[in-house]
Amino acid sequence: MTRVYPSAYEDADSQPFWAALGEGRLDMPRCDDCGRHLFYPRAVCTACGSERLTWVTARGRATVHSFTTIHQRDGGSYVIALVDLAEGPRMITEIIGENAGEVAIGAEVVLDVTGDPPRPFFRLAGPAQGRDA
Amino acid sequence: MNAPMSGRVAIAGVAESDLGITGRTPMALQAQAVTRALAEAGLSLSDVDGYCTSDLAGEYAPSVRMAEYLGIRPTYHDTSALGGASFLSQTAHAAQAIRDGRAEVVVVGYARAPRSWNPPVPAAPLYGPGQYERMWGAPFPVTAYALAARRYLHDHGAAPEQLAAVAVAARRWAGLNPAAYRRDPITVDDVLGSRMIADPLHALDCCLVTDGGGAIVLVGEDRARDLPQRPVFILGHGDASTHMNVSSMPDLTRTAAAASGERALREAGVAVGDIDVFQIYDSFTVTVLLTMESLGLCGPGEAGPLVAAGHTAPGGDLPMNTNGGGLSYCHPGEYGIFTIIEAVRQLRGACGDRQVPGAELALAHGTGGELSATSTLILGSNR
Ligand SMILES: [Zn+2]
Repeated sequence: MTRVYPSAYEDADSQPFWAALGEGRLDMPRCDDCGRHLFYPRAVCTACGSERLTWVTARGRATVHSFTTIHQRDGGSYVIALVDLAEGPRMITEIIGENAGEVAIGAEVVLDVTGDPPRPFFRLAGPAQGRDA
Repeated sequence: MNAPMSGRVAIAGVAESDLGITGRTPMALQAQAVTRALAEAGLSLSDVDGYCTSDLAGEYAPSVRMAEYLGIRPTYHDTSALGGASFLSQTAHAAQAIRDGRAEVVVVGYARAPRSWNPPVPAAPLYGPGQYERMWGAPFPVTAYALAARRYLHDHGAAPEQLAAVAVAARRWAGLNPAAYRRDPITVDDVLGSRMIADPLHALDCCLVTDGGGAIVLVGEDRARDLPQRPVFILGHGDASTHMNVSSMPDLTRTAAAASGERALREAGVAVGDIDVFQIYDSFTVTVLLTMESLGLCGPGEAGPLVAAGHTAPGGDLPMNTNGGGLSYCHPGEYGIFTIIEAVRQLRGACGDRQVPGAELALAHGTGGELSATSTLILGSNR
C-alpha cells in the first residue's frame, strides 16, 4: 500500500529542522545556558526557560524506547518507534530496512535521512545496516 | 442570585441522544441530549443560565453556537478543552460557579456524529508541534496508544491477552445495557483474532466509532431536593496533564490520572478503595490498565491480571464501565461525558440488569489526547 507522508507548513519554529533534513542532517536546538537539547524544536528551553538557543546537528544514534507495527488494510505494514536520541530527547520515527521487523525495545538504531522530501528515518544498527528499505 | 445554602451541587438530570448510526447532525444530537436531560430533571431550556461544551462540529466558540441553536442566552460559559476529559472538568467548574452564585442551572453537553456527518475538510499541511509525530502518516491516536501498550507489556512481561480481557469485560457489561452498540459476547480469542491495527492493539482493542451525544444538568442541592431525580453530588475533582504528543509523555505506563485522581479523592475525603463503581474512559484496552494503576487501584503490572480474573466484569468487586464503555456501548470521539452519565445512573440505582447493588460512591474518569490529559470526578448519592 502506498505510504502517504503529509507535507509540512514550515514556520519559524520548524524551518531549520526541515532545511537541515534537505541537507541530510537531523538538527535541533540546544540551550546556550544549560546545554539541554530540545526536540521537538521550540523557542524556549524547557529546562531553564532561556531563549538563547542554537541549532546543532544530532549524532544520529538512538535507542528504541517503544515501537508498533502499523498494519494497513491491504496487508502492508511498517514500523513506527519512539526512540531516545543520544543527545537526550525522545522522538517518533519510522524504522526502515529489511530487518525493521526485528526491532525490539532497547535496540540501537542509526539515522538515515531519506525520502522526498527527506525525513529522519532510523535503521537497526548492526549487520543489516545499510540495506534498502 | 443567591448561592445555595448547603454549598453542595447536584446532578439533577442526565441523558443520551440517539446513539449508533443516527443520520443526524452533531447539533441535533447535542440538542436532543440537552432537552432530554432537562426533561428528566423537571426543568426546561428557559431555566438554563449556564452552558458548557468543548466541541461543536470543530468550530470555535462552541458553547455560544450551541446556545444559539438551543435558543438560550447563558450568562455562564465554559469551553475548557481537555479532549475526552473535558466534560468532567467542565462539570467541576460548573459546580463551583453554582456554589459561587454565578449560575443556577448549568448544562454540560456534547455530541459528534462520525457515522452520519462528515463534511469534506480540505487537507491542511502539518504545522505546530504535532508535525513531528504526524510526518510519518501513521494513524493517530491509535499509534500513540500502541506505543504505550507495547511498553507496558514489555515492562511487566505481560501478554496481549491481558489487554484483550478489558474488551471482554466491557462486552459483558454491554450485554446488560440495551443502549449499547455491540452486545454479543466476545472472548479473548475473538479479540486476538480480530484485525491487527497497531501491534499489539487489534480492532477489538479499539473503541467504537459511533454517533452520540450526552448532557448533564447541574443545580444547587436545595433546588435539586425539589426536582424529580435522586440527586447525585459532586464530591471531588482533579485535572492534570503530562504532555500532548506521546513523544513528550514522561512515562508511557503512568498517566496524569495519578495526579487528577489523587486530587479528586482528597477533595472528596475518600480512598480509592471506598469507590463502589468506576467509569474509566476506555479509548483503547490499554487505557484502562494504565488508568487503573495510575489511580492506585492496584500496583504497576497488576491491572492486567485483575481484569483477566474478572474483577472489573459483572459480579466482580471492581465493577467498571458498566454501560459497556467506549469499547462496546458508544464512542463518538470525546467519550468522557458518558462516564458521568453512567456514574449518575448507577448512584441513582437506575441501571436495571447492570445495576451495582448499593452503589453510593462512584469515580468517573476521562482521558484526552494521547494519554495526555485526565480529569477525575468523585460522585456520591448519600453523603
Ligand atoms: Zn536551558
